[in-house]
Amino acid sequence: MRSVRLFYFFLVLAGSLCCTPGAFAQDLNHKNELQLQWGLRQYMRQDFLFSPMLYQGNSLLNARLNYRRQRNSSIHLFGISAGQYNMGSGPLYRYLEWRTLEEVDAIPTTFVLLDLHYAFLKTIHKGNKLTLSAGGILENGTGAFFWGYGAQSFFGYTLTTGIGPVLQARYALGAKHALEGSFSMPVLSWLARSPYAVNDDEFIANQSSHSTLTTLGNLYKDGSLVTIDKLQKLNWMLSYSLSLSERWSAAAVYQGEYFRFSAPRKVVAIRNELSLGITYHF
Amino acid sequence: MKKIIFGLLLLGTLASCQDILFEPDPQNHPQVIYEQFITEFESFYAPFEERAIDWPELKIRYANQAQNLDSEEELYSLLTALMAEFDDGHIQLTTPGREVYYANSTYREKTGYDLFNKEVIRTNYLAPGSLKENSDEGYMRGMTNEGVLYIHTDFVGAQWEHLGQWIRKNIAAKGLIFDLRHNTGGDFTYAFLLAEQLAEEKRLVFTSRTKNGPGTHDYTSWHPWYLVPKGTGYTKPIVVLIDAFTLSAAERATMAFATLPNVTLVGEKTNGSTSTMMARELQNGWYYSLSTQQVTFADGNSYEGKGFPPDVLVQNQEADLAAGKDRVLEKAIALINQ
Repeated sequence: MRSVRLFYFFLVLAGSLCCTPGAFAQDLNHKNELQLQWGLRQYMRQDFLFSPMLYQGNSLLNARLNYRRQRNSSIHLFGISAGQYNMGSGPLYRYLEWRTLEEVDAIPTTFVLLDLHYAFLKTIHKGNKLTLSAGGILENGTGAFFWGYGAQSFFGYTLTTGIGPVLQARYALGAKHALEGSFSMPVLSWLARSPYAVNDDEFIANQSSHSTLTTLGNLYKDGSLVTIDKLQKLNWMLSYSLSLSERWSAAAVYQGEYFRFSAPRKVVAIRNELSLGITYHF
Repeated sequence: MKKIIFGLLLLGTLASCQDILFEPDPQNHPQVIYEQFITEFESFYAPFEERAIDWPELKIRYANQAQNLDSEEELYSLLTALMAEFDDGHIQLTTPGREVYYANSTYREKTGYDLFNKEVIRTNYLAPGSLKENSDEGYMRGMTNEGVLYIHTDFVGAQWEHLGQWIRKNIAAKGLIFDLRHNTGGDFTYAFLLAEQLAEEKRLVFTSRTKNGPGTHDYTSWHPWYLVPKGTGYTKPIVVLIDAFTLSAAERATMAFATLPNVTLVGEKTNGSTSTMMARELQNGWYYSLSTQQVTFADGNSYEGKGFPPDVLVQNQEADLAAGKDRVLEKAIALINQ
């Protein structure tokens, strides 16, 4: 499958970067980092509200911006990410339009995922090579799903805002190389999601203003508080960074997300991202 | 280096764990697909009662025929036959290389489809220079030769907001003809936005409830839909034109107009598919849609399967249109000129 081949291509590319010797030492006195990432994202979603089939797709239209600020042992992290995914459960086909009998393509399925997070961590261990930090994260996920059903298209959504623990580890491989990993898991979340029959009166009323922000607010309002026994959402990240100069470094990053929820019908989703990033230290 | 290779292998493993985390796709065999269709259809479909469908009997009758399904062609024949029993404009089936199948016989057989012709209206009824059309937004508007505002839309969408502004700008006209013939529906809340500019007092239009579970009685509570005045109102006469191809959100728009005291409905009854809809996918890639709501108009009646009736019944004939006459539109103009 093309998507899998592309994903492994990026995996090898990231691996190659990991093996490239660094040229400059990183100036560790800088306390702020701004990182921009782009890469190949792969998304799989089986959402029984919309289809019994597993939908898979890729995104090349994506970006992630991370900001990190460190003062002594305190770390603030802020991140925003967006990606558009072309999804499908199989090849798109052509059908004949009613009355005109014109042959046309079935409407494709497109997902748009937007993520925001803020985390506050404290360094709990600082050794020569290994630094461990732990703290809390507030994360927000917005999923807008445009499901294509041949001649028709329907909108679905999942909105989450959750809080939970976050763990982070940094390992200095040398003066120019470093590995980093993190893991977070919201334990308490506010979740709003498409209703059982997708377009019920409440949903129709919520979007009747036809203003994106008002609609988003209305949909959020209709959500409910869920704990980890109902919503399982995990985020993980592994990155390798290479110092390029006093101010700049490059990174190869793998990130993933697992999402599982059971109401009103079961949904399981996994996202894999393999990105290249450029970081400015100041 | 070993650590890096190990890390890459781990990532590869994580990326390929779909078989463990996801349920396998359902089996792609005609009999299995048919069973999936039946299970999901009865979980989501709402207006069995309104359409006088004896679902248990229907299921048994078709189950006998389903036992020998062996090909996609047989499956298509059986599914479309079952769908036809409902005569529901929202039940449609999209399959590769075929025309979209409409369970509604009027749509499927295009009965009387040619009894509406925009070219006749453009040429013979709208004042020169007044016509404005936008095929992307699916509307046509202008002033009739008698000084009456005329609007036709192909669907109910965002263009209705602009049309409301146009009506207000031309408040001096004798009246308004809103042509909903051959309107295939869309988002009825846009129709409410326009109708609320015409309304003078708050009015109940309809109540509806939606399936919220697989059980026969699994519904949300009834939701009332009101017109709440948003402007100064419109007191001139309004005539709304409807036909059997006025479907779904266009029928709800008809209901919204019908609650206004200065509105007369002219034409023939609407399609009778007043619910909202959703779509599902079968494991062979086919898509179908169905009705998920029960809707009761302000008068306490459901028009699902019956069609919303006109106040004045007028139907075009082929000979009229061939002669450049739209009798339905002429009746509307006459009513406004009274």
